[in-house]
Amino acid sequence: MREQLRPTIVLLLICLAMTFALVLVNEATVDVIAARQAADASAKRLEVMPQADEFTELEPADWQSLVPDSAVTAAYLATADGAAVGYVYDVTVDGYGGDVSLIVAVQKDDLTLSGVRVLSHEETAGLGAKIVEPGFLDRFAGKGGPATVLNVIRSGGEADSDSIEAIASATISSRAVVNAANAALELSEALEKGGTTP
Amino acid sequence: MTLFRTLRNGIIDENPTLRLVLGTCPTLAVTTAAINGVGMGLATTFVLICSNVLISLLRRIIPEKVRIPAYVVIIAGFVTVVQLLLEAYVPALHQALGLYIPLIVVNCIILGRAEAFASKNTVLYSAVDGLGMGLGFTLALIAMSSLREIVGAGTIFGVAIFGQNWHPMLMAALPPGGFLTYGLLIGLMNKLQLVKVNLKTHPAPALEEGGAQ
Repeated sequence: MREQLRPTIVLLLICLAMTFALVLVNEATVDVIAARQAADASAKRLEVMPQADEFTELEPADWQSLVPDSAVTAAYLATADGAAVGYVYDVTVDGYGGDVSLIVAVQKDDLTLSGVRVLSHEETAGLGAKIVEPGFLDRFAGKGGPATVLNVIRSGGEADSDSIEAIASATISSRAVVNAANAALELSEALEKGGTTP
Repeated sequence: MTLFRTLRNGIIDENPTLRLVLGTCPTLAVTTAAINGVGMGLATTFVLICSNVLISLLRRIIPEKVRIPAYVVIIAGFVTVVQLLLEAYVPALHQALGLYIPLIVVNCIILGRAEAFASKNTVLYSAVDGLGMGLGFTLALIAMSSLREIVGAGTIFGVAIFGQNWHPMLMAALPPGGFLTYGLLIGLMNKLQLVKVNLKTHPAPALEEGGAQ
């Protein structure tokens, strides 16, 4: 009996001790991490829409009916001195290795992309993970416009006004970012037409 | 075995990557760029030292029957601690390494050293073994990832080292290039080790045996 009890109790104690240690570390870091993520997201929002000075989250009920099953998870109206200048979206799309979360900004006046940033991703290091690099994300700025659906062309090709050159050997990851941009463009156009802007 | 021999053992004689061929999954997966090799190597070294020390401390308490589950709980715990601390206080490093940190749990170098060394040796030696094995792993990853980055992308630590006309051989950064580079490095290490063994076991054979080899 003793022979069976001892291993069980020791393993239980080790599990309890490690769990307790993790609780302590989590307690100490959870607020820091949440604050850092929130600051990171708002800094990125400002990065993609530099002319704005305030971001107001739109009520999900107001826009979710406009584009059903949109990849957009949150929409913000960007204003500068009280006048609306654009929309900024949190978008989550399927990548190669898992979900890709992005921030996509669209200009209100001509419905072109103002900027794209990646918040988190699980793409292949060295290949798909290059979607976070400015060299790729800068290809989106100024693209779009009313009724435009961006498409992906292979790396090395000449991109025109409604296509994006993919990263070499990372077409699926590149397409994920393009899908996110298209979701943002589609919703922006619907918002402009729908006239739900406050 | 002296402390220095223990350290050297991990870096050269029993290099976990190139001699023991352990932890091949992270080795092949993360060595596409030199900075990844450095980060993965150092994070693994930290976990390896911590888990070796704790397992060595508990080596008389942990019963034989449940030692593997106990080791896994301890290793996974340390990995999670590293991940949380990095995310909270070193966000830049966490951003670069975030994907690889959970991979450390399944790195069999750590479980292997817990089983083969820390469970049988004193705390000091276990810490030094963790450091040596960790550095051996780190150096092997840096060698491999530098080669793959130079050949596959024409850069080292992200800095371009060749002119505009350099066409990188992309395959080196892709999985086949990983296997090829790994195989070449293991071969090189074997060759060097073989030369050393020959010198030890047949010192100056030409004089002893009249050159008959």
